[in-house]
Amino acid sequence: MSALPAPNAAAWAEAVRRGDLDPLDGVRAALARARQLDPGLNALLHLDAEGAEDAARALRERLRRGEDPGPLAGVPLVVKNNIAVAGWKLTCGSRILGDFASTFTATVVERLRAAGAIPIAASNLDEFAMGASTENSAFGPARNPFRTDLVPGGSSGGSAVSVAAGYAPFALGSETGGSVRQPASFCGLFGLKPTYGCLSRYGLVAFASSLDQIGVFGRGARDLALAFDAAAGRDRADSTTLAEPVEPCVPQLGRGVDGMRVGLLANSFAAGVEDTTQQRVRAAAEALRAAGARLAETQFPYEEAVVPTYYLLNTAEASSNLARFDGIRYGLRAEDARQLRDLYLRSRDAGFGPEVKRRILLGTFSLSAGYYDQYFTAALKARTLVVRAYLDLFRKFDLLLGATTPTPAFRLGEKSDDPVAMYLCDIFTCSANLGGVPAVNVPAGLGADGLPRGVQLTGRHRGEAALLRAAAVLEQALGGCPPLPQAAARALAA
Amino acid sequence: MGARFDVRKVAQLACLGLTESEEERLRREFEAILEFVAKVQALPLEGVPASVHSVAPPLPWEADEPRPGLHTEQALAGAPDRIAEFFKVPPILAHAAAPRRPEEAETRE
Repeated sequence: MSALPAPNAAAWAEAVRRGDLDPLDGVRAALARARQLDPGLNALLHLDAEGAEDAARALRERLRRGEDPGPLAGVPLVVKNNIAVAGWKLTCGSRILGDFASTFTATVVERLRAAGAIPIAASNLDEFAMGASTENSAFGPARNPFRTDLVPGGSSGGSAVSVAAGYAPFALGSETGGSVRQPASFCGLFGLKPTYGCLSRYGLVAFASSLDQIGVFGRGARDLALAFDAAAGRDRADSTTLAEPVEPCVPQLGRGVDGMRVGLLANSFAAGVEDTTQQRVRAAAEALRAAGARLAETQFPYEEAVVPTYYLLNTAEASSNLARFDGIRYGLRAEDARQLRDLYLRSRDAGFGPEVKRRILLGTFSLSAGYYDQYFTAALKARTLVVRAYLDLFRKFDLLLGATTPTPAFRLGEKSDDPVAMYLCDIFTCSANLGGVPAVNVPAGLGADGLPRGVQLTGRHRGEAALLRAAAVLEQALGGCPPLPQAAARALAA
Repeated sequence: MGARFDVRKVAQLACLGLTESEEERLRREFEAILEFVAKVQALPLEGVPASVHSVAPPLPWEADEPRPGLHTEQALAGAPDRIAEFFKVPPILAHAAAPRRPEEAETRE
């Protein structure tokens, strides 16, 4: 089976910058691997071989002229297909967008390109990023490369699979309640959800605008830091980006955690969290302690109500954001509608899948007269409690450590008929979105079942540098991304 | 705090056509979903202000300068149907217009 020329994005860029790796050879290796493995994994919706090879040739020219090719020189990038790349089909994993192709490129993709990265493919996702398994894609589920009868997590499952199976060393996803960290945990990757407002959302299709952030998958803390530093910062095309300059993470990466105060979340040791995950969280705590951090056990409050709060808010905002898909300006239009309203009803019924309909209905209900205060306003107030809980915890601690998910990857179909069980996948992740704070999944090796486990670090608002310093310490201690077992790799290549 | 979830009425508010079997399935699912989200109401919310965003930084002012935007042809590029430089839509009113359904007037601003 063709292997990639470098183990992670940082090493790949270094090889290109030194002249040891020709960018075109690198891109061709990535494309070959994606073509070979994706028929069994369904992680990709679109492969842009021509665009990627052209970009690699342009980069080769820049190198020949002696120009700085950027900190991500020549590194292939997979982009979740709810993030716009000009000329690529933008499906959001839905039928309702039809053959719609974006006329512009998302700011984050532009910035990564300017840093030398080369977008090669668009990845599969839960429809409109609504889901925790990538089973809600109109284009079929993506599969976990560690065991193909399991889900890769979601909603950015295709991006996670692309990096875990080695199509590319890093990828973009999006986060509303854990959609990068949870698939990173299920696929043995580093996955960062930045602070709300650090990365521009221009070109990210809106799901729940008060929660959405673009996130990054990588094969090490340095990969995340390189991507974050290149992509973060004010964008006048997105008025919600923070005005203050963002602190670069790469220069601080090696500084360790000596003296850092880390709160160990007791929530991770409750019933319902499987034993192996609990053990890995404890191992991570010991590793941070050994590196000089001061640990104390603490608790995130309101745990019972965090997921309900998150679902009331995301669905209310989704019901409003998805009103634009009406069959008029783009995408699918129902045939033979004789009246405008009939066109709306029929186009939306034909175009949206079951989970999207469920969320639009819950959101419409919680915003409707008679129920607004009881549900939506209550959730807005609950968000205040979550924000205050973080402020309180970050007076005592610099970082929080806990589980990313209560269990490893589950079987395809296992939770499909039980929406509430699927929603509970977000129990340890969605609070960071409600609080607007950054969080990262760090791989914590394989369990005896051969499946990846992950642990989660949460930082204070705009605290990515400290977060990734600690992630780098855990990368050393816990071994980084687990390689695909030989048997799985052979089975995929067959 | 029980809530009556009338799936047909909510679907009308959401401009979502549903088949009979979808309606039936959703009616069942929403019993569990509403029970689940109602846990929010058990929190100590008395006197707590509502937060529309996790952080509300001051929005910076931008210079009011013309910038390139979407060209008409780009905006129309994805249109399922068009006439000249317009999106083509079916009639808004039927020839024998039915009276507005009362539930349609209930959408909250």
